[in-house]
Amino acid sequence: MAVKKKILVACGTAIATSTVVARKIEEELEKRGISVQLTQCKASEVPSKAEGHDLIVTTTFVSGAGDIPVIQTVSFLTGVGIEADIEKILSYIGGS
Amino acid sequence: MTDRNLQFGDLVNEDLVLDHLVARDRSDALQKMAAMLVEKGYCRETFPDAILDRERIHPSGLPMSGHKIAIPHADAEHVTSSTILFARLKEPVEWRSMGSIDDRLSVRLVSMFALKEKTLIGDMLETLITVYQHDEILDALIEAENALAMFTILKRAVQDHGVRR
Repeated sequence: MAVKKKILVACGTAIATSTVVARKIEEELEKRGISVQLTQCKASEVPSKAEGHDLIVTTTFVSGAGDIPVIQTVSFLTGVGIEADIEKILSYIGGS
Repeated sequence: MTDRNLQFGDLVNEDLVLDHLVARDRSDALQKMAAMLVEKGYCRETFPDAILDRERIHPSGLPMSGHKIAIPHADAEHVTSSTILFARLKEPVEWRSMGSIDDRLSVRLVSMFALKEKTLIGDMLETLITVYQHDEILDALIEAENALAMFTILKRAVQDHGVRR
């Protein structure tokens, strides 16, 4: 079994909107039979926590992500554009 | 397994749904709502400033597909007893959009989250976000006759669409 891909989910607080985003991503990927490891953090913690992750999904502007790809989106909160963002996530973590 | 509807019913009563809230702008709306939560004993005196500061750094407007909304919140340390305060503004005010601060939304529906317990924060926010992703519910809230009707719509929507884990 392949090693689970790691996604860092960031928002302003690390507990409010990122919780919702992480759960929605998990649900959407589960529907496609893909299991990932999700970690939450504050946007300001991205520089110190990014290392070792395959992707960062954030609701707010982040800097200091280095080489790790960043998807900034509120689609998982608004419901607008979720499919497109899931496709984008899959393109980075190598799902089909 | 917890009953989300019971949780919502425990947290929110009809006194926590405001209609015709008059606000000059976003800050005025936030200030009035936060002050009410302090006055009613749900939040500490530090809550209004925490809400305003958070909003400046991390805007809480959400560009839903239909009516736009705002979900202001602050850290748990400013809350003494968890609740959610809902308001329908008399006139829409301009709100900065989460994730895209240059975007300005026109917002009448504001849900102010004052939540203390970590699990509750995730559960209630996810439940209400899921509810708000249904355009027809936001339409109904905008068109509701009064605060009591809004409360009834919210309560039923949480029951029908709420997230159960």
